[in-house]
Amino acid sequence: MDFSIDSLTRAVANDAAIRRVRRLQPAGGAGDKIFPPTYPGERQGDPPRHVFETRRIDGQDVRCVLIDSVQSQANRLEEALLAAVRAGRIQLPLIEVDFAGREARGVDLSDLDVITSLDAPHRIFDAILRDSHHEGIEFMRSAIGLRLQKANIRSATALFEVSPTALLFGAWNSTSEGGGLGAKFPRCLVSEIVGIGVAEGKRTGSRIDPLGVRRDAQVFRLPSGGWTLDEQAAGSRPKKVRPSEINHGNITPSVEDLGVTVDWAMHTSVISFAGLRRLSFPLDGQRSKETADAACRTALAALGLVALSEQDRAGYALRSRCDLVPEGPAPFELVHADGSIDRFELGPDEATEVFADAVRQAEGHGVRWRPESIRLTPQPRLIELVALSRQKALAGEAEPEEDA
Amino acid sequence: MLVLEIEYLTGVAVAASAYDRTVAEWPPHPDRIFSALVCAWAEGGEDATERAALEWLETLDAPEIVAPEAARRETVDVFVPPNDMTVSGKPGSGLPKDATPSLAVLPVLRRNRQARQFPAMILPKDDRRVRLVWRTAARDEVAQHRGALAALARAVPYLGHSSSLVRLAFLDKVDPGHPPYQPDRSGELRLRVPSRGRLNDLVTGYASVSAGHAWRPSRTSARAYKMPSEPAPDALPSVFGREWIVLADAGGETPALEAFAVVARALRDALMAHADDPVAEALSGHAPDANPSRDPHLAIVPLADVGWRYSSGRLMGVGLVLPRKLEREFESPTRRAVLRAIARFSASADGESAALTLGALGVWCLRREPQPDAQSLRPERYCRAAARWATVTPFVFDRFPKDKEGQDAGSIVVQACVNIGLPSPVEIALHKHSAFRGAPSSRRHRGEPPSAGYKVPKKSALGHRPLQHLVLTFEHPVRGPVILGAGRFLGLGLCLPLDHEAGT
Repeated sequence: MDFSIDSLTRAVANDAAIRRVRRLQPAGGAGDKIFPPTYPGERQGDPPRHVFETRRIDGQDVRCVLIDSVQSQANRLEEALLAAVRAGRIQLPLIEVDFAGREARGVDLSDLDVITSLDAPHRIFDAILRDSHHEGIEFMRSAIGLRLQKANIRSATALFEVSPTALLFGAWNSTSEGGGLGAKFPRCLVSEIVGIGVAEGKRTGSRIDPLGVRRDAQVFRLPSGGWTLDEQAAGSRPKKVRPSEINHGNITPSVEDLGVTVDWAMHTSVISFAGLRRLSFPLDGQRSKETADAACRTALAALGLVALSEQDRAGYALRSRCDLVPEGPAPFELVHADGSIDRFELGPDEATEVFADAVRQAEGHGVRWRPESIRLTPQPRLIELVALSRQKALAGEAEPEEDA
Repeated sequence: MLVLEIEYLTGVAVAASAYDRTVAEWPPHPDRIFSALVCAWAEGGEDATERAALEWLETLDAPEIVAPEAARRETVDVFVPPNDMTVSGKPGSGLPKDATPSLAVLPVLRRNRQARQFPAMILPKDDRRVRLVWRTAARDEVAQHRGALAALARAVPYLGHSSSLVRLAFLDKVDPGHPPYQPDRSGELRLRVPSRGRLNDLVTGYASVSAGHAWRPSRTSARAYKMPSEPAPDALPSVFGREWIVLADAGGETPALEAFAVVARALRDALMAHADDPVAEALSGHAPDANPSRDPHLAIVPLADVGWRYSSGRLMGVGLVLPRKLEREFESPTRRAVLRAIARFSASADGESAALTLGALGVWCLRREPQPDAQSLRPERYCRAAARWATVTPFVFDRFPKDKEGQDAGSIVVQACVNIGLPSPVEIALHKHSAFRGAPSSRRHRGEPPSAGYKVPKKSALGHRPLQHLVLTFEHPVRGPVILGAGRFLGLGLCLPLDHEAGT
C-alpha cells in the first residue's frame, strides 16, 4: 500500500486504526537478563516485584512480563518528539517554563532547566504551567490560558494550536471545576512493551569500600552540612551518624528476586482513528467544518506516526539494564472498519514528510499552530521556595514528612 | 439477528469490575458497551435517528456473549503524580511550615504520588474479538436501525479505560466460535445489561452533572448468565437426581448447619408420618425386612449460605433429592407415593407451609419453594458438571481408616464415590476445614465447648464415626449432585464444585 497524505486523510476519516507490532530483543543479545519496572509488593513490607501475566500464544500458556507500561511509553514518545524538535527535524508548538538564569537567596536554579508541555506530568494542564506567568499574568488567566480552560472535545482548537500532543496522549483539566469535572481528552495513541516467555532471575547489590571505612567509626554531622570527626566542632547538640549515612563504608550484599530473561519482547502500538474522529476544531466561534476537522485529525495521526518512528530512532533504552533493540523492520497495519488489514512500510523520513504535509493542509483550512514556543516565567514565590528548601537541605535539616 | 463485534486492538482489555475496582471485568458487560455507544451518540451531536436506534437496542433481550478465554494481568499499585498542588504565599514571606505541597509543583520534586490500579485482561494473540449476539432481533427492525448503529459503532474508540482501544462493528451473522455466555436464570454469573429507559437515565443523570451535582451512572440490574460450557465428553452422573424439591426456611427456630443430620432424621420421620402405609422403601431407606435398603433412597440435604464471598453458613432451606432412576420413572407408584408424602408434609401446618418439630431444638417452619430466587437455594449449584469437588458438610467414614492396604482413608473415599456411581477420583485431599467460606469445620476447634461441632442423631449408625472435609479431583468432569459417605442420606458429605470464580 502506498502511503501519502491523501491516503492518510482517507484512512483517518473511514478506518478504525493504525497498529504496529514489533519484536525486540535485549541489546546484549538474545537471552541477556533485563530488568523490567518494579512495583510495590502485594502487602506492606513485601519486596518489589515485576508485573507478570500469562498469555495464550499458539495454543500454549506463556508467562509474560510488563516491560514498559502505557503511561511510561507515552512519556518516552513525548521525549522522542522533544528531541526531534530540538534537532530541528520537526516543528511543534511548545510551552516552556524556563528556569535558566533564575536565582534567589544566592542559590542558582538554572539546573532545573526548561520544563516543556512535553515533559510536564499532566501535560498542558500541569501544575507547573498553571503556576507560572505569561507576560506577567498567571498562565491560566492569560488569553491563551482562558481559551484552554474553555476547550473540550468538540472545541479542541486551542489545544491543537498550543499543544497537539495533549490531544494525542490524552489530557485532563483536572483542577478547573470542582470535583475534577474539567474537560477530558482521552488518549488516541496507546503503546506498550511486554516480554514474552519469561524466566525469572536475581538481582544483587553490594558495595566494597575501597577505603575500608568501618561501621563503628564515629562521625558527626556539621550544622552547615558536611561532617567531622571532632565532637566539639559539631556544635552544641552533636548528631552522630554512621559512615554509610555519609556514603562511606561497606554495604552487605543482598540478593533480590528481580530481573528476567525473555524469549522476545513485543512492542504494540495503536493509533485510534475513532478517537481522533471525536475531536472537532471550530474556528472563530463558528461551527466546525468537516474539512478543517479532517485536516487537523490527519495532522494528529501523522504526529503519532512521527512519534513512533522517532522512538525507533532514539532506541529503546528504557531504564538501567533494560536496553532493547528491534529484531528487524516491522510494517504498520491499517485496520479497516470491518477488521481487514492492509500493511504498509513507513520510514522515519517519510513520516516527517507526511507530517509536514499534514500540518500545511491544516493551515490551509485556517488552523495553524504557533511557530515559536510560548515562554512562561516561573512564579517568583516558587523560585524562592525551591532556593530556601535547597539551603535547608544542604544544612542537613530533615524534609517534612509527606502525607501518605 | 444482530451481532456486535468488538476487537480489542492492543490485545489488552483494561476495565475494572463494578463490584471490586482492583479486579478486571471479563467478559465486558453489555451495559458497559451500551454506555460506550451512548457516549458516542452524545459526542457525535445527539442525532435523532441514532437515539431511536439506541432506544430500540434497550428493548432487546440480553445478548449471548461469545468471548475468548482471557488471562489476568497481575494487578499492582501504580503510583501516579497528582496535579492539585499550588504555590501559595507572597514573595519575601518565610517558608511555610510544610513546603512540600508547594514544592511539588515542580515535576522533579513531585513525590506525593497516589496509588492507582489498572486491572487488565490479556486476550490470546490470535483471538481478540468479542461478539454480542441478539438472536431474536427482528430482521426488519435491524434493517431499519442498521445505518445509525453502524455510525455509532465507528465512533467508539475505547471500552473501559482509555488505553483499551477497540474497533466496533455491527454484523449480520456470526461464525460458530466459542461456546457463548448465555443468559440463564440458573447461571452463576451476574452481568449488567441495559433495560428499557437506560438511555433516558443516563441523559438526565449527565444533565445533573452540568448543573453542578456529582453523579455516577447507577448500576443497572444484573442478569444471570451461564458460563460457556465446553462440549466436553458427557459428564458421568451420580445416582442422585437433579430435580430437587426445595423447602425454604419460613421462620421459627432455624437450626445450625452443624445440627443438620438431626434435622434430616426428624424430617424423614415427619415425611414417613405423612406417607401411606406401607412406607415406600425409597422414603424410609429400609427394606421390608428392616435391613438398610440396597438401592439409593431419598436423600435430605442442607441448602445453606456457603461458598460466597461473605457467606455466613446460615441454613436457608432443605433439598429433597430423589434417586435419579426414580426421578425418571414418571409412572412408578413409588415415585408418586414419595411425592405425595412430601406434598402432604409441605402443606401440613397451614395449607402452605410445614412445621418441623425438632425436639429440644424447637420448631422450624418450612415452605415449598419451586422457583427459588436465592442463589444458595438453587439446586443447579450442586448439580453442575465439574472435575473438582469439595465438601460443604463433612464426609462420614463408614469405618475407621486403618493403615492396612485397601482400608486406609483414601480407599474408603474411593469406595464411597463408586457407591454413588462416580469413577474413582485421581486426587483426594483430607482437611479439617471446608474449602468453602461459611461451612463449619468437621471438628470443633480447641477452646470451643463440647456442644460445638457436627451432631449426628442419637442411636444412629453414624455415631462415633470420623468426620473429615474432602477435596476431590476427577480425571473428567462428573455431574452432580455429589453426596458421599455414610451420612449421604442425611445431608453429610454434600459437595460443591470447586472451579470457576462465580459472580465477578
